[in-house]
Amino acid sequence: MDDWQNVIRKRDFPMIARGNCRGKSTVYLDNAATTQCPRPVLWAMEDYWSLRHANVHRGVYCLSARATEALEETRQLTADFLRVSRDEIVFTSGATDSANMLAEAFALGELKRGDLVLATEMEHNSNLLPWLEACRRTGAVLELVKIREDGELDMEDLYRRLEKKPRLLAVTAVSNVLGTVNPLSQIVSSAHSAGAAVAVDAAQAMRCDLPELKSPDCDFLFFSGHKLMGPTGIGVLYAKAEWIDRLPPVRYGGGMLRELRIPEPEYESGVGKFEAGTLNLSGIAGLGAALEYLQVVGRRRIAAYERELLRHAEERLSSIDGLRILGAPKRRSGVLSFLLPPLQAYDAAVLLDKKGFALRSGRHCADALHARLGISGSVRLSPAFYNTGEELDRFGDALEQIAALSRTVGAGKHG
Amino acid sequence: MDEIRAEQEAILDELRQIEDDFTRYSYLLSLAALLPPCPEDVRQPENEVKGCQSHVWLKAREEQGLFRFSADSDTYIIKGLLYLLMNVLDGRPLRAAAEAELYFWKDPMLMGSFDDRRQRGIGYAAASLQKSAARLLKENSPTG
Repeated sequence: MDDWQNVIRKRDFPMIARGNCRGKSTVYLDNAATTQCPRPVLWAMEDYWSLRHANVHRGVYCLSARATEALEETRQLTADFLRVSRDEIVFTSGATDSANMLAEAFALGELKRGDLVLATEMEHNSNLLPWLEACRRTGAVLELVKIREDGELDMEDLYRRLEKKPRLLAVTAVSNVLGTVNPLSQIVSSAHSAGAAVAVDAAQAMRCDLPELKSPDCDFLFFSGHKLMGPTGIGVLYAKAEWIDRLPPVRYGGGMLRELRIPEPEYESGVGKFEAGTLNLSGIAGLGAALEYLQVVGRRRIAAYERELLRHAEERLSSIDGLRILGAPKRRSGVLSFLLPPLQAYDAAVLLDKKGFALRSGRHCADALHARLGISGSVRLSPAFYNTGEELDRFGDALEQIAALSRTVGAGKHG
Repeated sequence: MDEIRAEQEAILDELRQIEDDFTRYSYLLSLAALLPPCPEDVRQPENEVKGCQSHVWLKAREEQGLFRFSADSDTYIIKGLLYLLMNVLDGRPLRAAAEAELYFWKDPMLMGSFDDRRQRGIGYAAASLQKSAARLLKENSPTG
Protein backbone atom coordinates (compact mmCIF):
# COMPACT_ATOMS: atom_id res chain seq x y z
CA MET A 1 0.00 0.00 0.00
CA ASP A 2 1.26 3.47 -0.82
CA ASP A 3 2.17 5.56 2.22
CA TRP A 4 -0.16 8.40 1.30
CA GLN A 5 -3.00 5.96 0.95
CA ASN A 6 -2.35 4.41 4.35
CA VAL A 7 -2.29 7.87 5.91
CA ILE A 8 -5.59 8.99 4.44
CA ARG A 9 -7.32 5.75 5.43
CA LYS A 10 -6.41 6.17 9.06
CA ARG A 11 -6.62 9.92 9.27
CA ASP A 12 -9.63 10.75 7.13
CA PHE A 13 -11.83 7.65 6.84
CA PRO A 14 -12.00 5.97 10.25
CA MET A 15 -14.76 3.57 9.24
CA ILE A 16 -12.75 2.36 6.27
CA ALA A 17 -9.61 1.93 8.35
CA ARG A 18 -11.51 0.10 11.09
CA GLY A 19 -13.05 -2.14 8.44
CA ASN A 20 -16.15 -3.23 10.25
CA CYS A 21 -19.83 -2.51 10.53
CA ARG A 22 -21.66 -3.48 13.73
CA GLY A 23 -18.66 -5.58 14.69
CA LYS A 24 -18.64 -7.45 11.37
CA SER A 25 -15.65 -7.26 9.08
CA THR A 26 -16.61 -5.03 6.14
CA VAL A 27 -14.78 -3.88 3.08
CA TYR A 28 -16.74 -1.09 1.42
CA LEU A 29 -16.76 -1.55 -2.36
CA ASP A 30 -19.95 0.29 -3.32
CA ASN A 31 -18.43 3.64 -4.17
CA ALA A 32 -20.35 4.01 -7.42
CA ALA A 33 -23.47 4.28 -5.26
CA THR A 34 -21.96 6.68 -2.74
CA THR A 35 -18.55 7.47 -1.34
CA GLN A 36 -17.53 7.98 2.26
CA CYS A 37 -17.03 11.52 3.55
CA PRO A 38 -13.54 12.35 4.81
CA ARG A 39 -13.30 14.20 8.09
CA PRO A 40 -12.68 17.65 6.53
CA VAL A 41 -16.10 17.38 4.85
CA LEU A 42 -17.76 16.53 8.16
CA TRP A 43 -15.94 19.37 9.88
CA ALA A 44 -17.01 21.84 7.19
CA MET A 45 -20.66 20.91 7.68
CA GLU A 46 -20.40 21.00 11.45
CA ASP A 47 -18.68 24.36 11.21
CA TYR A 48 -21.49 25.63 9.01
CA TRP A 49 -24.24 24.53 11.39
CA SER A 50 -22.49 25.50 14.60
CA LEU A 51 -20.88 28.81 13.60
CA ARG A 52 -22.09 30.09 10.26
CA HIS A 53 -25.71 29.11 9.77
CA ALA A 54 -27.72 31.93 8.23
CA ASN A 55 -29.61 32.38 5.00
CA VAL A 56 -27.76 33.78 2.03
CA HIS A 57 -28.39 36.80 -0.21
CA ARG A 58 -29.75 40.16 0.78
CA GLY A 59 -29.23 39.70 4.51
CA VAL A 60 -27.58 42.91 5.66
CA TYR A 61 -26.08 41.37 8.77
CA CYS A 62 -22.63 39.87 9.02
CA LEU A 63 -23.66 36.19 9.31
CA SER A 64 -25.73 36.36 6.15
CA ALA A 65 -22.97 38.10 4.26
CA ARG A 66 -20.50 35.41 5.39
CA ALA A 67 -22.89 32.64 4.37
CA THR A 68 -23.27 34.25 0.94
CA GLU A 69 -19.49 34.51 0.60
CA ALA A 70 -19.10 30.84 1.52
CA LEU A 71 -21.73 29.84 -1.03
CA GLU A 72 -20.02 31.81 -3.76
CA GLU A 73 -16.61 30.42 -2.76
CA THR A 74 -17.91 26.90 -3.33
CA ARG A 75 -19.38 28.00 -6.65
CA GLN A 76 -15.92 29.27 -7.60
CA LEU A 77 -14.24 26.06 -6.38
CA THR A 78 -16.66 24.00 -8.46
CA ALA A 79 -16.05 26.18 -11.48
CA ASP A 80 -12.28 25.82 -10.99
CA PHE A 81 -12.67 22.05 -10.67
CA LEU A 82 -14.31 22.00 -14.10
CA ARG A 83 -12.30 24.95 -15.47
CA VAL A 84 -15.42 26.87 -16.39
CA SER A 85 -16.95 30.17 -15.29
CA ARG A 86 -18.70 30.46 -11.92
CA ASP A 87 -21.60 32.03 -13.80
CA GLU A 88 -22.25 28.62 -15.34
CA ILE A 89 -22.60 26.66 -12.09
CA VAL A 90 -26.08 25.97 -10.69
CA PHE A 91 -26.49 24.18 -7.37
CA THR A 92 -29.09 21.43 -7.29
CA SER A 93 -29.88 18.59 -4.91
CA GLY A 94 -27.99 16.01 -6.98
CA ALA A 95 -27.40 14.65 -10.46
CA THR A 96 -30.98 13.42 -10.75
CA ASP A 97 -32.32 16.84 -9.81
CA SER A 98 -29.96 18.49 -12.30
CA ALA A 99 -31.12 16.27 -15.16
CA ASN A 100 -34.76 16.81 -14.24
CA MET A 101 -34.35 20.59 -14.13
CA LEU A 102 -32.60 20.58 -17.47
CA ALA A 103 -35.15 18.34 -19.15
CA GLU A 104 -37.99 20.45 -17.73
CA ALA A 105 -36.37 23.61 -19.04
CA PHE A 106 -35.95 22.00 -22.45
CA ALA A 107 -39.57 20.86 -22.44
CA LEU A 108 -40.68 24.36 -21.54
CA GLY A 109 -38.50 26.38 -23.86
CA GLU A 110 -36.95 24.22 -26.55
CA LEU A 111 -38.70 21.00 -27.52
CA LYS A 112 -41.71 20.80 -29.79
CA ARG A 113 -43.75 18.02 -31.37
CA GLY A 114 -41.70 15.83 -33.70
CA ASP A 115 -38.29 16.93 -32.34
CA LEU A 116 -35.78 14.16 -31.73
CA VAL A 117 -33.86 13.63 -28.48
CA LEU A 118 -31.13 11.00 -28.23
CA ALA A 119 -29.96 9.14 -25.14
CA THR A 120 -27.87 5.96 -25.04
CA GLU A 121 -28.54 2.42 -23.95
CA MET A 122 -25.97 2.80 -21.18
CA GLU A 123 -27.62 5.76 -19.46
CA HIS A 124 -28.51 5.72 -15.80
CA ASN A 125 -32.28 6.19 -15.50
CA SER A 126 -31.53 9.71 -14.24
CA ASN A 127 -30.29 10.77 -17.68
CA LEU A 128 -33.03 8.88 -19.48
CA LEU A 129 -36.35 9.17 -17.66
CA PRO A 130 -36.33 13.00 -17.44
CA TRP A 131 -35.83 13.13 -21.22
CA LEU A 132 -38.46 10.49 -21.82
CA GLU A 133 -40.94 12.51 -19.79
CA ALA A 134 -39.93 15.77 -21.53
CA CYS A 135 -40.60 14.05 -24.87
CA ARG A 136 -43.95 12.70 -23.69
CA ARG A 137 -45.02 16.16 -22.60
CA THR A 138 -43.98 17.92 -25.80
CA GLY A 139 -44.63 15.27 -28.43
CA ALA A 140 -40.91 14.95 -29.14
CA VAL A 141 -39.39 11.53 -29.80
CA LEU A 142 -36.71 9.79 -27.74
CA GLU A 143 -34.35 7.29 -29.38
CA LEU A 144 -31.57 5.30 -27.76
CA VAL A 145 -28.12 5.03 -29.32
CA LYS A 146 -27.03 1.40 -29.23
CA ILE A 147 -24.05 -0.05 -27.46
CA ARG A 148 -21.81 -2.79 -28.87
CA GLU A 149 -21.23 -6.23 -27.40
CA ASP A 150 -17.95 -5.07 -25.84
CA GLY A 151 -19.78 -2.31 -23.94
CA GLU A 152 -18.56 0.56 -26.11
CA LEU A 153 -21.01 3.05 -27.52
CA ASP A 154 -21.82 2.14 -31.14
CA MET A 155 -20.42 5.25 -32.82
CA GLU A 156 -21.75 4.22 -36.23
CA ASP A 157 -25.25 4.07 -34.76
CA LEU A 158 -24.69 7.45 -33.15
CA TYR A 159 -23.59 9.01 -36.46
CA ARG A 160 -26.62 7.54 -38.23
CA ARG A 161 -29.00 8.98 -35.66
CA LEU A 162 -27.25 12.35 -35.66
CA GLU A 163 -28.09 12.63 -39.36
CA LYS A 164 -31.71 13.01 -38.23
CA LYS A 165 -30.73 16.30 -36.58
CA PRO A 166 -31.72 15.68 -32.94
CA ARG A 167 -32.16 18.65 -30.63
CA LEU A 168 -30.15 17.08 -27.81
CA LEU A 169 -27.98 14.11 -26.97
CA ALA A 170 -27.97 12.84 -23.37
CA VAL A 171 -24.86 10.76 -22.72
CA THR A 172 -22.92 9.55 -19.74
CA ALA A 173 -19.20 10.20 -19.42
CA VAL A 174 -18.68 6.85 -17.68
CA SER A 175 -21.15 3.97 -17.58
CA ASN A 176 -22.23 3.26 -14.02
CA VAL A 177 -22.38 -0.48 -14.80
CA LEU A 178 -19.71 -1.27 -17.39
CA GLY A 179 -17.25 1.46 -16.47
CA THR A 180 -16.99 2.35 -20.16
CA VAL A 181 -15.35 5.75 -20.57
CA ASN A 182 -17.06 7.29 -23.56
CA PRO A 183 -15.04 9.27 -26.13
CA LEU A 184 -16.69 12.50 -25.10
CA SER A 185 -14.70 14.90 -27.28
CA GLN A 186 -15.58 12.91 -30.39
CA ILE A 187 -19.21 12.54 -29.32
CA VAL A 188 -19.68 16.20 -28.47
CA SER A 189 -18.01 17.41 -31.63
CA SER A 190 -20.16 15.11 -33.82
CA ALA A 191 -23.32 16.13 -32.00
CA HIS A 192 -22.51 19.81 -32.35
CA SER A 193 -21.84 19.38 -36.06
CA ALA A 194 -25.33 17.93 -36.31
CA GLY A 195 -26.76 20.88 -34.40
CA ALA A 196 -27.52 18.93 -31.20
CA ALA A 197 -26.84 20.15 -27.69
CA VAL A 198 -25.11 17.63 -25.41
CA ALA A 199 -25.99 16.88 -21.78
CA VAL A 200 -23.31 14.85 -20.01
CA ASP A 201 -23.99 12.79 -16.90
CA ALA A 202 -20.67 13.03 -15.06
CA ALA A 203 -21.87 11.42 -11.82
CA GLN A 204 -19.48 8.48 -12.15
CA ALA A 205 -16.71 10.42 -13.82
CA MET A 206 -15.73 13.14 -11.39
CA ARG A 207 -12.97 11.15 -9.65
CA CYS A 208 -11.56 9.88 -12.96
CA ASP A 209 -9.65 13.08 -13.80
CA LEU A 210 -10.75 12.86 -17.44
CA PRO A 211 -9.25 15.58 -19.65
CA GLU A 212 -12.62 15.82 -21.44
CA LEU A 213 -14.23 17.09 -18.25
CA LYS A 214 -11.88 20.03 -17.88
CA SER A 215 -13.17 23.03 -19.82
CA PRO A 216 -15.74 20.63 -21.28
CA ASP A 217 -17.08 21.19 -24.80
CA CYS A 218 -20.52 19.89 -23.90
CA ASP A 219 -23.45 22.23 -23.30
CA PHE A 220 -24.48 20.72 -19.97
CA LEU A 221 -22.84 18.54 -17.38
CA PHE A 222 -24.06 17.40 -14.02
CA PHE A 223 -22.96 15.40 -11.00
CA SER A 224 -23.72 14.66 -7.35
CA GLY A 225 -21.61 15.64 -4.38
CA HIS A 226 -21.96 12.28 -2.65
CA LYS A 227 -20.06 10.36 -5.32
CA LEU A 228 -16.97 12.48 -4.83
CA MET A 229 -16.61 12.40 -1.08
CA GLY A 230 -19.19 15.09 -0.44
CA PRO A 231 -22.53 14.81 1.36
CA THR A 232 -25.83 13.67 -0.11
CA GLY A 233 -28.44 16.22 -1.15
CA ILE A 234 -26.14 18.48 -3.10
CA GLY A 235 -25.35 18.44 -6.79
CA VAL A 236 -24.24 20.64 -9.64
CA LEU A 237 -25.60 21.52 -13.04
CA TYR A 238 -23.10 23.14 -15.34
CA ALA A 239 -24.64 24.92 -18.31
CA LYS A 240 -22.73 26.97 -20.88
CA ALA A 241 -23.33 30.70 -20.46
CA GLU A 242 -25.48 31.00 -23.57
CA TRP A 243 -27.78 28.28 -22.24
CA ILE A 244 -27.98 29.94 -18.84
CA ASP A 245 -29.34 33.00 -20.64
CA ARG A 246 -31.55 31.05 -23.01
CA LEU A 247 -33.27 28.44 -20.83
CA PRO A 248 -36.29 29.42 -18.74
CA PRO A 249 -36.40 28.80 -14.99
CA VAL A 250 -38.42 25.76 -13.96
CA ARG A 251 -38.85 26.43 -10.25
CA TYR A 252 -40.29 29.56 -8.87
CA GLY A 253 -40.10 31.25 -5.50
CA GLY A 254 -37.74 33.09 -3.22
CA GLY A 255 -34.46 34.41 -4.49
CA MET A 256 -35.10 34.27 -8.24
CA LEU A 257 -37.48 37.18 -8.74
CA ARG A 258 -36.22 40.53 -10.01
CA GLU A 259 -39.53 42.33 -10.16
CA LEU A 260 -43.06 41.16 -9.57
CA ARG A 261 -45.17 42.21 -12.52
CA ILE A 262 -48.46 40.41 -12.91
CA PRO A 263 -49.06 38.57 -15.16
CA GLU A 264 -45.46 38.58 -16.43
CA PRO A 265 -42.89 38.71 -13.63
CA GLU A 266 -39.27 39.46 -14.36
CA TYR A 267 -36.82 36.88 -13.10
CA GLU A 268 -33.17 37.12 -12.19
CA SER A 269 -30.70 36.62 -15.00
CA GLY A 270 -27.79 34.23 -14.62
CA VAL A 271 -27.67 31.14 -12.44
CA GLY A 272 -29.87 32.82 -9.80
CA LYS A 273 -32.98 32.17 -11.86
CA PHE A 274 -32.45 28.42 -11.44
CA GLU A 275 -31.91 28.51 -7.69
CA ALA A 276 -35.34 29.28 -6.27
CA GLY A 277 -35.73 28.81 -2.53
CA THR A 278 -33.10 28.20 0.11
CA LEU A 279 -30.23 26.08 -1.11
CA ASN A 280 -28.73 23.19 0.82
CA LEU A 281 -26.13 25.42 2.41
CA SER A 282 -24.49 22.86 4.68
CA GLY A 283 -24.35 20.49 1.70
CA ILE A 284 -22.67 23.21 -0.33
CA ALA A 285 -20.16 23.71 2.49
CA GLY A 286 -19.53 19.94 2.43
CA LEU A 287 -19.18 19.89 -1.34
CA GLY A 288 -16.66 22.70 -1.21
CA ALA A 289 -14.63 20.84 1.40
CA ALA A 290 -14.79 17.65 -0.70
CA LEU A 291 -13.49 19.41 -3.79
CA GLU A 292 -10.68 20.98 -1.79
CA TYR A 293 -9.89 17.61 -0.23
CA LEU A 294 -9.60 15.93 -3.63
CA GLN A 295 -7.34 18.74 -4.84
CA VAL A 296 -5.10 18.41 -1.79
CA VAL A 297 -4.81 14.62 -1.99
CA GLY A 298 -4.28 14.98 -5.72
CA ARG A 299 -6.87 14.35 -8.42
CA ARG A 300 -4.34 12.74 -10.78
CA ARG A 301 -2.95 10.56 -8.02
CA ILE A 302 -6.42 9.44 -6.96
CA ALA A 303 -7.47 8.67 -10.54
CA ALA A 304 -4.27 6.74 -11.27
CA TYR A 305 -4.57 4.71 -8.08
CA GLU A 306 -8.25 3.91 -8.68
CA ARG A 307 -7.45 2.83 -12.26
CA GLU A 308 -4.73 0.54 -10.93
CA LEU A 309 -7.14 -0.92 -8.35
CA LEU A 310 -9.69 -1.66 -11.07
CA ARG A 311 -7.06 -3.20 -13.34
CA HIS A 312 -5.91 -5.37 -10.44
CA ALA A 313 -9.51 -6.43 -9.74
CA GLU A 314 -10.20 -7.18 -13.40
CA GLU A 315 -7.11 -9.36 -13.61
CA ARG A 316 -8.07 -11.27 -10.46
CA LEU A 317 -11.72 -11.71 -11.41
CA SER A 318 -10.80 -12.83 -14.94
CA SER A 319 -9.03 -15.82 -13.43
CA ILE A 320 -12.16 -17.10 -11.65
CA ASP A 321 -13.74 -20.04 -13.39
CA GLY A 322 -17.35 -19.34 -14.35
CA LEU A 323 -17.28 -15.61 -13.60
CA ARG A 324 -18.36 -13.34 -16.44
CA ILE A 325 -17.25 -9.73 -16.47
CA LEU A 326 -19.68 -7.46 -18.33
CA GLY A 327 -18.17 -5.64 -21.27
CA ALA A 328 -14.58 -5.18 -22.32
CA PRO A 329 -14.31 -1.49 -23.13
CA LYS A 330 -10.99 0.00 -24.19
CA ARG A 331 -11.09 2.47 -21.30
CA ARG A 332 -12.78 1.30 -18.10
CA SER A 333 -13.06 3.43 -15.02
CA GLY A 334 -14.62 3.26 -11.59
CA VAL A 335 -16.75 0.14 -11.86
CA LEU A 336 -16.65 -3.46 -12.93
CA SER A 337 -19.82 -5.55 -13.05
CA PHE A 338 -20.03 -9.29 -13.25
CA LEU A 339 -22.21 -12.38 -13.12
CA LEU A 340 -21.59 -15.72 -11.48
CA PRO A 341 -24.03 -18.00 -13.29
CA PRO A 342 -26.12 -19.85 -12.40
CA LEU A 343 -26.31 -17.70 -9.26
CA GLN A 344 -28.45 -14.58 -9.58
CA ALA A 345 -26.67 -11.31 -8.86
CA TYR A 346 -28.64 -10.99 -5.65
CA ASP A 347 -27.53 -14.43 -4.42
CA ALA A 348 -23.90 -13.55 -5.08
CA ALA A 349 -24.20 -10.17 -3.32
CA VAL A 350 -25.78 -11.74 -0.22
CA LEU A 351 -22.97 -14.28 -0.02
CA LEU A 352 -20.38 -11.55 -0.50
CA ASP A 353 -21.99 -9.64 2.34
CA LYS A 354 -21.61 -12.73 4.51
CA LYS A 355 -17.93 -12.70 3.62
CA GLY A 356 -17.69 -9.04 4.66
CA PHE A 357 -17.79 -7.26 1.28
CA ALA A 358 -20.29 -4.48 0.67
CA LEU A 359 -21.32 -4.48 -3.00
CA ARG A 360 -24.51 -3.74 -4.86
CA SER A 361 -26.54 -6.10 -6.99
CA GLY A 362 -29.45 -5.40 -9.32
CA ARG A 363 -29.82 -3.19 -12.34
CA HIS A 364 -28.07 -0.19 -10.80
CA CYS A 365 -30.77 2.11 -12.25
CA ALA A 366 -29.53 1.20 -15.73
CA ASP A 367 -32.57 -0.71 -16.93
CA ALA A 368 -32.00 -0.06 -20.63
CA LEU A 369 -28.48 -1.44 -20.40
CA HIS A 370 -29.53 -4.61 -18.61
CA ALA A 371 -32.36 -5.13 -21.11
CA ARG A 372 -29.84 -4.70 -23.95
CA LEU A 373 -27.53 -7.27 -22.34
CA GLY A 374 -30.48 -9.61 -21.73
CA ILE A 375 -29.79 -9.96 -18.01
CA SER A 376 -31.94 -9.24 -14.99
CA GLY A 377 -29.15 -7.82 -12.86
CA SER A 378 -25.45 -7.82 -12.12
CA VAL A 379 -23.06 -7.46 -9.20
CA ARG A 380 -21.08 -4.24 -9.25
CA LEU A 381 -17.63 -3.72 -7.80
CA SER A 382 -16.61 -0.08 -7.40
CA PRO A 383 -13.48 0.56 -5.36
CA ALA A 384 -12.27 4.00 -4.34
CA PHE A 385 -8.88 5.35 -3.37
CA TYR A 386 -9.29 4.31 0.26
CA ASN A 387 -9.50 0.66 -0.79
CA THR A 388 -6.37 -1.43 -1.15
CA GLY A 389 -5.03 -4.12 -3.44
CA GLU A 390 -4.92 -6.46 -0.45
CA GLU A 391 -8.67 -5.95 0.12
CA LEU A 392 -9.31 -6.76 -3.52
CA ASP A 393 -7.17 -9.91 -3.23
CA ARG A 394 -9.32 -11.03 -0.31
CA PHE A 395 -12.39 -10.14 -2.33
CA GLY A 396 -11.08 -12.32 -5.16
CA ASP A 397 -10.56 -15.21 -2.74
CA ALA A 398 -14.13 -14.88 -1.45
CA LEU A 399 -15.47 -14.79 -4.99
CA GLU A 400 -13.45 -17.90 -5.81
CA GLN A 401 -15.21 -19.68 -2.95
CA ILE A 402 -18.63 -18.45 -4.07
CA ALA A 403 -17.89 -19.46 -7.66
CA ALA A 404 -17.13 -22.99 -6.44
CA LEU A 405 -20.43 -22.98 -4.57
CA SER A 406 -22.19 -21.68 -7.67
CA ARG A 407 -20.82 -24.59 -9.70
CA THR A 408 -22.20 -27.00 -7.08
CA VAL A 409 -25.59 -25.31 -7.21
CA GLY A 410 -25.48 -25.36 -11.00
CA ALA A 411 -24.81 -29.07 -10.90
CA GLY A 412 -28.14 -29.53 -9.05
CA LYS A 413 -30.79 -30.79 -11.40
CA HIS A 414 -33.41 -28.26 -10.51
CA GLY A 415 -31.48 -25.01 -10.70
CA MET B 1 -46.52 -29.73 19.49
CA ASP B 2 -48.28 -29.93 16.13
CA GLU B 3 -46.42 -31.17 13.07
CA ILE B 4 -46.11 -27.79 11.39
CA ARG B 5 -44.62 -26.23 14.50
CA ALA B 6 -42.31 -29.23 14.97
CA GLU B 7 -41.06 -28.89 11.39
CA GLN B 8 -40.36 -25.19 11.90
CA GLU B 9 -38.45 -25.90 15.10
CA ALA B 10 -36.42 -28.59 13.31
CA ILE B 11 -35.48 -26.09 10.59
CA LEU B 12 -34.41 -23.48 13.14
CA ASP B 13 -32.40 -26.08 15.08
CA GLU B 14 -30.60 -27.07 11.92
CA LEU B 15 -29.77 -23.45 11.12
CA ARG B 16 -28.54 -22.81 14.67
CA GLN B 17 -26.03 -25.60 14.32
CA ILE B 18 -24.37 -23.76 11.46
CA GLU B 19 -21.77 -21.45 12.94
CA ASP B 20 -21.40 -18.60 10.49
CA ASP B 21 -23.65 -16.63 8.19
CA PHE B 22 -21.82 -17.53 5.02
CA THR B 23 -22.17 -21.27 5.61
CA ARG B 24 -25.81 -20.79 6.58
CA TYR B 25 -26.55 -19.03 3.30
CA SER B 26 -24.52 -21.56 1.35
CA TYR B 27 -26.70 -24.21 2.95
CA LEU B 28 -29.80 -22.32 1.86
CA LEU B 29 -28.44 -22.21 -1.68
CA SER B 30 -27.82 -25.93 -1.66
CA LEU B 31 -31.46 -26.46 -0.61
CA ALA B 32 -32.53 -24.64 -3.78
CA ALA B 33 -31.48 -27.66 -5.79
CA LEU B 34 -33.87 -29.84 -3.77
CA LEU B 35 -36.96 -27.84 -4.73
CA PRO B 36 -38.95 -30.14 -7.05
CA PRO B 37 -38.85 -29.14 -10.70
CA CYS B 38 -41.65 -26.80 -11.50
CA PRO B 39 -44.31 -27.80 -14.05
CA GLU B 40 -44.31 -25.52 -17.11
CA ASP B 41 -47.67 -23.98 -16.28
CA VAL B 42 -46.54 -22.60 -12.92
CA ARG B 43 -44.23 -19.86 -14.24
CA GLN B 44 -47.17 -17.82 -15.51
CA PRO B 45 -48.06 -14.22 -14.65
CA GLU B 46 -51.22 -15.29 -12.81
CA ASN B 47 -49.11 -17.38 -10.40
CA GLU B 48 -46.52 -14.72 -9.69
CA VAL B 49 -46.54 -13.35 -6.16
CA LYS B 50 -46.93 -9.58 -6.32
CA GLY B 51 -44.59 -7.45 -4.28
CA CYS B 52 -41.57 -9.76 -4.35
CA GLN B 53 -38.31 -8.24 -5.51
CA SER B 54 -37.30 -11.62 -6.95
CA HIS B 55 -39.72 -13.42 -9.21
CA VAL B 56 -41.66 -15.98 -7.18
CA TRP B 57 -44.30 -18.27 -8.65
CA LEU B 58 -46.65 -20.37 -6.52
CA LYS B 59 -49.47 -22.65 -7.60
CA ALA B 60 -51.53 -24.44 -4.97
CA ARG B 61 -53.89 -27.38 -5.30
CA GLU B 62 -55.83 -29.83 -3.17
CA GLU B 63 -55.14 -33.55 -3.27
CA GLN B 64 -57.23 -35.85 -1.11
CA GLY B 65 -57.85 -33.17 1.46
CA LEU B 66 -54.19 -32.18 1.61
CA PHE B 67 -52.59 -28.89 0.68
CA ARG B 68 -50.08 -29.25 -2.17
CA PHE B 69 -48.17 -26.60 -4.05
CA SER B 70 -45.53 -26.04 -6.70
CA ALA B 71 -43.06 -23.20 -6.35
CA ASP B 72 -40.27 -21.55 -8.27
CA SER B 73 -38.11 -18.43 -8.19
CA ASP B 74 -35.37 -16.87 -10.29
CA THR B 75 -33.21 -16.47 -7.17
CA TYR B 76 -31.49 -19.43 -5.57
CA ILE B 77 -31.66 -18.20 -2.01
CA ILE B 78 -35.39 -17.62 -2.40
CA LYS B 79 -35.72 -21.10 -3.89
CA GLY B 80 -34.00 -22.44 -0.78
CA LEU B 81 -36.55 -20.63 1.37
CA LEU B 82 -39.40 -21.96 -0.78
CA TYR B 83 -38.03 -25.47 -0.27
CA LEU B 84 -38.22 -24.92 3.49
CA LEU B 85 -41.77 -23.56 3.15
CA MET B 86 -42.62 -26.67 1.20
CA ASN B 87 -41.30 -28.84 4.04
CA VAL B 88 -43.50 -26.95 6.45
CA LEU B 89 -46.77 -26.67 4.50
CA ASP B 90 -46.90 -29.08 1.58
CA GLY B 91 -48.85 -32.28 2.21
CA ARG B 92 -50.52 -30.95 5.37
CA PRO B 93 -54.28 -31.06 5.89
CA LEU B 94 -55.86 -27.97 4.32
CA ARG B 95 -57.08 -26.58 7.63
CA ALA B 96 -53.72 -27.04 9.30
CA ALA B 97 -51.94 -25.30 6.40
CA ALA B 98 -54.42 -22.43 6.38
CA GLU B 99 -54.40 -21.81 10.10
CA ALA B 100 -50.79 -22.53 11.07
CA GLU B 101 -48.65 -19.84 12.62
CA LEU B 102 -45.72 -19.51 10.21
CA TYR B 103 -42.77 -18.01 12.00
CA PHE B 104 -39.56 -19.78 11.02
CA TRP B 105 -38.87 -17.51 8.04
CA LYS B 106 -38.93 -14.42 10.27
CA ASP B 107 -35.98 -15.63 12.34
CA PRO B 108 -33.00 -13.24 12.13
CA MET B 109 -30.83 -16.18 11.06
CA LEU B 110 -32.78 -16.20 7.81
CA MET B 111 -33.95 -12.62 7.50
CA GLY B 112 -30.81 -10.88 8.74
CA SER B 113 -29.44 -10.24 5.29
CA PHE B 114 -32.60 -9.59 3.34
CA ASP B 115 -33.49 -5.96 2.84
CA ASP B 116 -36.94 -4.72 3.85
CA ARG B 117 -38.46 -5.16 0.41
CA ARG B 118 -37.31 -8.76 0.17
CA GLN B 119 -38.47 -9.51 3.69
CA ARG B 120 -41.89 -8.18 2.74
CA GLY B 121 -41.81 -10.25 -0.45
CA ILE B 122 -41.11 -13.45 1.47
CA GLY B 123 -43.97 -12.54 3.80
CA TYR B 124 -46.27 -12.08 0.79
CA ALA B 125 -45.27 -15.52 -0.52
CA ALA B 126 -46.01 -17.20 2.82
CA ALA B 127 -49.30 -15.30 3.16
CA SER B 128 -50.29 -16.16 -0.39
CA LEU B 129 -49.83 -19.88 0.32
CA GLN B 130 -51.97 -19.72 3.43
CA LYS B 131 -54.62 -17.73 1.57
CA SER B 132 -54.68 -20.43 -1.12
CA ALA B 133 -55.00 -23.10 1.56
CA ALA B 134 -57.96 -21.21 3.10
CA ARG B 135 -59.60 -20.87 -0.32
CA LEU B 136 -59.14 -24.55 -1.11
CA LEU B 137 -60.49 -25.44 2.33
CA LYS B 138 -63.61 -23.40 1.65
CA GLU B 139 -64.03 -24.86 -1.81
CA ASN B 140 -63.68 -28.39 -0.50
CA SER B 141 -65.80 -28.13 2.62
CA PRO B 142 -69.27 -29.74 2.39
CA THR B 143 -70.91 -26.30 2.65
CA GLY B 144 -68.34 -24.58 0.43
